[in-house]
Amino acid sequence: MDLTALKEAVINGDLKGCTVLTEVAIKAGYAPHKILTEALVPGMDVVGEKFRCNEVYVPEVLVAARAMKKSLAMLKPLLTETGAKPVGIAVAGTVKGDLHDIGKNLVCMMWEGAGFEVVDLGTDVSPEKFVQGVKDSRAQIVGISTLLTTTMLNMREVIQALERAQLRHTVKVMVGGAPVTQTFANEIGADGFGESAATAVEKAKALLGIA
Amino acid sequence: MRSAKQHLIACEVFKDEFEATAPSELGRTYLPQGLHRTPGKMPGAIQEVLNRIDPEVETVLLGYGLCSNGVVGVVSKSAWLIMPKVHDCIALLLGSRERYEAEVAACPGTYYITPGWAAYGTTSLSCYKNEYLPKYGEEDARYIARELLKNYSRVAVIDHGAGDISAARAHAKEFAEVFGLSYAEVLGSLEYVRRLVNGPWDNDDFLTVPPGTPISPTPFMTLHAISLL
Repeated sequence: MDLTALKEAVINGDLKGCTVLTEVAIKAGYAPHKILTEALVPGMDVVGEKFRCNEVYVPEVLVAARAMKKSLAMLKPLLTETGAKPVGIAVAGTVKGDLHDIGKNLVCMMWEGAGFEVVDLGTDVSPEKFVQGVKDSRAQIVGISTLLTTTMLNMREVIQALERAQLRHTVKVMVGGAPVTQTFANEIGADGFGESAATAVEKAKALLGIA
Repeated sequence: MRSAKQHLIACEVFKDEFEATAPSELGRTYLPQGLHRTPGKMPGAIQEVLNRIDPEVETVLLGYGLCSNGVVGVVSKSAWLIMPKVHDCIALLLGSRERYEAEVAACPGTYYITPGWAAYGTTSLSCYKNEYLPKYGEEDARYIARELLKNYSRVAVIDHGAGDISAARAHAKEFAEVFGLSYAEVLGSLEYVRRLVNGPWDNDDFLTVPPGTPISPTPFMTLHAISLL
């Protein structure tokens, strides 16, 4: 077998297909890391890109993410066994006042897929909780998400809270979510902006100097 | 008597509200509500209508909020643009931003339904029944709906006296039952909508954009107390 079928199963949100094909791939002797980086992540990249271009909508993303998550859970113990160290630590959350988390969850999963240890702080996260999360996890990356334009400015509050806690220099701040733009990210003093889940991975790696 | 020629471009979910309040001589164009889910396509759709508008029109009234930046970049060549200073339609339908803030504070996880949404728009219930179930089957459709709605605790009908309220109630009650949410009714108001189509347009509640100037998100950013914690 090759890994194309598994990648397709992710793209199609085929939960059963992903389960079976992941098992087949493991039994066929593929390294878990290879399954992850050559089937799951590229599959989800395709879905993310189609979403960005309005070719697919939230439901397609949700079922694809669920399928990938299932495969990821099957690979995780094997990845740990092989002693793969996390490439970095990231915390993520949706800002205070916003309960939307589909995009944030997707970024968390893609970061995990790229080898990050991810701490998910959930939704409606206050600046103080972001600060605590960064402290507790010793994160190098903090991802702040929002869907609502009403809560966009709360992202700046998080950055200011990190400054007050004298943690700003220890962590790279990334922002994302439907209304967020590069210009806005610059305005509030973020280090990076991810237009999609896939770019969020590239950006996080670039910020930490990981190839 | 109105001296200046005006035209309204609005989202279809507001049809009942505007038909109940707009003067008969006001020209109207309604655009599909589906743009709510693809705000990236909104500026183009609104711009297209603006580009075709009678050059004699001096003021274009936009029946939109910031709508996830769905109006950003829209520019009128010769007419002035006037729009409500709201982020989304809920503040407009409740009658003011203050009412909206009070409702958000009371119950942040509220899914609002108006007669217009039930009649012309799509809701998570109509999507579930008409799109997700046929396309994905019950198990996956349920999963999708659960993911979309997991942070909502109630569905609320906004009653402001326009449109078919009994149909909206029936829709919202079914919504609450299918997805296990509580049901509520909140009092809306047509006042804000009425002021948009009749004036006066005070600066606190309306954004006035001169011809040739693209709509910017900046004036909206500081509107709500919840933006500033």
